[in-house]
Amino acid sequence: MSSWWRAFDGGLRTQLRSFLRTPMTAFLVLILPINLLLLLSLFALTGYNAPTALVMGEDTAAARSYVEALEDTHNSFELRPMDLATAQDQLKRARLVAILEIPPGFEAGVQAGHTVPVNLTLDNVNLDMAEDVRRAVPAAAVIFAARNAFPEVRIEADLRNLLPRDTGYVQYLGVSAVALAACIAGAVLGGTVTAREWELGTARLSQLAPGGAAAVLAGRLAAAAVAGVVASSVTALIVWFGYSVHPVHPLEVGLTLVATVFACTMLGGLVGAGLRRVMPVAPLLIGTLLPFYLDSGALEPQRFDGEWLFALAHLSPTYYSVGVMEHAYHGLVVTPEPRWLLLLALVAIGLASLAALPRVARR
Amino acid sequence: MAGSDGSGLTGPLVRGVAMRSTAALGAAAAVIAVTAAEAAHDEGRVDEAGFVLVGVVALGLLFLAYHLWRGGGVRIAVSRTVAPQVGVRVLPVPTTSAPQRDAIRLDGITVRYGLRLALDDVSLRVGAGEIVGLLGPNGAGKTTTVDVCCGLRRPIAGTVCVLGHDATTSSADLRRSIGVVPQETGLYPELTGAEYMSLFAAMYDVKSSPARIEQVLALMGLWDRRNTRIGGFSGGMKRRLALARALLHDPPVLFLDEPTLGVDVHGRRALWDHVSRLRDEGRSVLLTTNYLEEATALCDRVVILDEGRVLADERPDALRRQSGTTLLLETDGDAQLLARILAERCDVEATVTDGVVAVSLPRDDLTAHVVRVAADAATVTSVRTEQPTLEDVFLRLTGQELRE
Ligand SMILES: Nc1ncnc2c1ncn2[C@@H]1O[C@H](COP(=O)(O)OP(=O)(O)OP(=O)(O)O)[C@@H](O)[C@H]1O
Ligand SMILES: [Mg+2]
Repeated sequence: MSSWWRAFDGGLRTQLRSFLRTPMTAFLVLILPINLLLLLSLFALTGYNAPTALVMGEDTAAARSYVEALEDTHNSFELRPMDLATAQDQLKRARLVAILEIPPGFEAGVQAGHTVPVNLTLDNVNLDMAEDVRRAVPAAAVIFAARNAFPEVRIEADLRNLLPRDTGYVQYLGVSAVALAACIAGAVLGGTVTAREWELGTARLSQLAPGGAAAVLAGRLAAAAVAGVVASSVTALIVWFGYSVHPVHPLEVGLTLVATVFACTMLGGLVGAGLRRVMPVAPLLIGTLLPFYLDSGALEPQRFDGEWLFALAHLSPTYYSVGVMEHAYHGLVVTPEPRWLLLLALVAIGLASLAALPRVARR
Repeated sequence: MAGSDGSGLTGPLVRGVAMRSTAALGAAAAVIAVTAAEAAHDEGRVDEAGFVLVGVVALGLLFLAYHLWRGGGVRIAVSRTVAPQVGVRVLPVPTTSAPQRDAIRLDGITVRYGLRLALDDVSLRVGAGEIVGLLGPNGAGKTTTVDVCCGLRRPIAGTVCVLGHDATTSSADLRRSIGVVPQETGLYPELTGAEYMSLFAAMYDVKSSPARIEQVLALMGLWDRRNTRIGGFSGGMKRRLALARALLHDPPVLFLDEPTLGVDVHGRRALWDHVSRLRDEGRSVLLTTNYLEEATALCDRVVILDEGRVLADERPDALRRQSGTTLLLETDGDAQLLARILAERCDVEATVTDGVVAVSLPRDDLTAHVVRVAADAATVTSVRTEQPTLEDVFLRLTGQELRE
């Protein structure tokens, strides 16, 4: 074995031992990606089932048919039948987003060909949700009219879906959270592991060993990457079995996870070797990777908000990782670049960081 | 190799330009390969496996380009001669030029940290089988000197040669031949003493390492604690472990930066004995210390540094002799009066402490004259002479106490 490999091996073993002997660190490593998944799931859920009161002024076939039509429109609210007083009270206490009232005499009015008012009271503090409810009410009227063969409306949507199935927002976001978790877990682990070498003063010793500091650091980063893959695999499995998002390409999930953790561990390791202090590593890396993640189109397919932001997104490994991960789980194509290029970019980020490591370590 | 002797810059320059051109071509080839593959893929002529292959090849090309760009692989002294550093001379190869007995040799070393001059034209030598002590107040530049010798810090001027190697290149060969105890003990708290030693035994490829580990741990009195985690060691034990680690690969040259800081008397004596034995075997040691006792007991020579400059470089006893003697006189009469008379008539410095008159004699041959004058002036009841301690010498040279 050459001295480089001996140093690498030494770094790897020592770091693995260190992970195993400090259960608190190991626990935190595992918790961080899961927390990120929870965070994003909550984020999705809050915009997902906007609680809306349904106040039925009458229980007639027409009223029920309208409500059915309402539920069939593509919306993100959850209808909760209740009486008007309760609804108003709950709206005041911010427990509801809107109150929808089917007035008494709805059926009679419709059948008589009158314009029937459907009252909508909106808490428009959240524009996104408010718009969703606003759009749903007339849309439901169209469906309702078509089903009941009213003469005036003759529009029918001839829908052709691009994908064989719809992708739920939570499911979509959950998958991108797996990519983000792999990025952040890898980067924070890598950065902490290298910065700690300087904080302990051991970097100086490995700089003096025949194999050199970079070999020892590479060994430590390899161990950090192993820990990162284990930690983010848990997140991937939670999305798989907990969120029931069965991956279309399971092998691709594994491959992406490994490539992402590799890229981010090495990148984080480089940052840690540059900072040489453990304290700022996690805030800096999380603080940088999160905005890049939001910018990377991770929240919705193809939402890049402008050329510059889109170009900027390419700087971060999250962009590439989310791109492949959405394909691996959902079969979605969310980036203009082909998948192989995305994976290659991840590998290249990792290798480039590794190649720059000796320089930064020697500085 | 042409150019590596530093005789001319043309060779290296041409080579540098050639390498960078090759690198640029390599990078361009990589970009073209990927673009072509993508176009072919869009037209349905290449499947995805082919794609990945092209990608990997392109990546290989990029890395080759990167290495060539940095001048890796063909490591010649190009960057050292092309990128000029103020005043750095190209080292003659010591083995072929005049016979070189110094294990460590610093010539005109200057080091800056930003605007602060940490070392100012420092020259010193440590011969084979010699122990040299570096003494100086805090911030004098002792650690910086050690760092320069180990190749951890680059001087802006001067040359540093360790065992015939230019230390600034810090080659693997050189690193194998030096043992270092840094001022800040670098230890992994979660490892046990034995594991820590095994790690370094593996890194240094120490032959029959279990026996050697036992030997050095026993020497430092840590064998019984070998299975304790380092986090549970006391400060002195940590220091002893660092020493054991530095000795592990049996290097011909040792750099010890305050090696016995916080180590108890037992451990200190054990180390001194061992270091003395190493000297007898022909090994060289450069140590910094704040313990004068250590310098006196161990060092063949003492170098006193202050504010980055060498103030003295002598054998400890010679240093003391240079500093003159102190004459101590006791009298029945007025000690203050006697001190005044001596100062006036003999032109010496005389002070009174606890009723004893202390006269600093710049030269030993003044003793008889001063005693005669004193006997004429008062009833002298006792006369003693006192050699200065290294501490006095230090105080005189640097104007500072060694330890606060
Ligand atoms: N990394 C650094 N950055 C900036 N200045 C430094 C650095 N290291 C040392 N110095 C400065 O260089 C000078 C010499 O420092 P050095 O550590 O060599 O002193 P020393 O003699 O070893 O002191 P001590 O007895 O306290 O260990 C000091 O003025 C110090 O402030
Ligand atoms: Mg020091």
